[in-house]
Amino acid sequence: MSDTDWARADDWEQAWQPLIDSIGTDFSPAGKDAIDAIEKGAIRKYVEPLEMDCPIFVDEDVAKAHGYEGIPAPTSGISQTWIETGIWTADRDPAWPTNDRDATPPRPPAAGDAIEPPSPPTSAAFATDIEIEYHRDAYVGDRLTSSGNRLISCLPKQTSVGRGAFQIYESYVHNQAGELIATVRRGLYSYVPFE
Amino acid sequence: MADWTRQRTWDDVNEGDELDPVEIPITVHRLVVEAGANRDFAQIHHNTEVAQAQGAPEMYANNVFIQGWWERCAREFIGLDGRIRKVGPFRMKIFNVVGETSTTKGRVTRKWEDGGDHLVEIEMWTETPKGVSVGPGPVVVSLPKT
Repeated sequence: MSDTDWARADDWEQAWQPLIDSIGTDFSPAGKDAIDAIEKGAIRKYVEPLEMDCPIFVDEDVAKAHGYEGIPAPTSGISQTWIETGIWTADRDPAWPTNDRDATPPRPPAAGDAIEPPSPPTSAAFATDIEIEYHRDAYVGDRLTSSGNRLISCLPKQTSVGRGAFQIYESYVHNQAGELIATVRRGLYSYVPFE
Repeated sequence: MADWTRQRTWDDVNEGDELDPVEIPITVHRLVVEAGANRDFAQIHHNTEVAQAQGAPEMYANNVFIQGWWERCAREFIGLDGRIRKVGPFRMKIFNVVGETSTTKGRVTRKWEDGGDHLVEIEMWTETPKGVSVGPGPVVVSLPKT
């Protein structure tokens, strides 16, 4: 019996009830620091595939002339890029221990107080919804912290790709001074694909 | 290229104004460059076999890349003195896959004052050849008054 057999049951939605009962719970209230401070070169690389030529992202004088404290980080990276915690560091296990073609490195360590949401096992997921309120800008030199993983909603649903549930989680991004940079609501659909 | 010497003001903006569309041709190379830049290394975004095993037709753009399309579209409208205050909620409905061009568009739906802020709401969305893939959803920006 596979741990994803719940997806084949007639009453498969019931597998999500423990998570539905957890709506409102913050599964990771403590913060996790980004692995790096925001770097000027990282911003240049970030705007490259976007071909976003806004000069505030490369020219500090232009940015300051238009009211910024320095070179700001593109706001669109606040939910992932500027809070990224790295794939491997010297104190972690190998990220690529095998040559399995499609192997994926393990997820980075969670914050110390993080607990796993009580969702049934799934084998696939993708982002579905985004809502971000920006309270202040993040700048080159800032090292951000992401905290919170509060479950806002959970809706079991069968889609064209499988059976799973749409979930929305809320988190918060602060800078090193403790100032709130952004409130992030991120939706995902985690599921068991149809065979 | 956008004309960054032009600064649009709140007084300039009217409901119904349309933003210049942003076209993003999606290639494997671009998705790989994007993954390195925005640090989303989920294989569904750069590995056809993995994406298809999970039910997608092909590898597809990640959500931070899509947020970037919306940011670029908004910034080219608000200029250097404008600020992005809020994005969404918006839903990614269908995959923005490799080999297609995704186009992000926007239209002003509302303008108002709040305290000393001069705010504008833009309805934004992204289209692929298969239809609207992302949104529509609101983006709230602020602009200088005059």
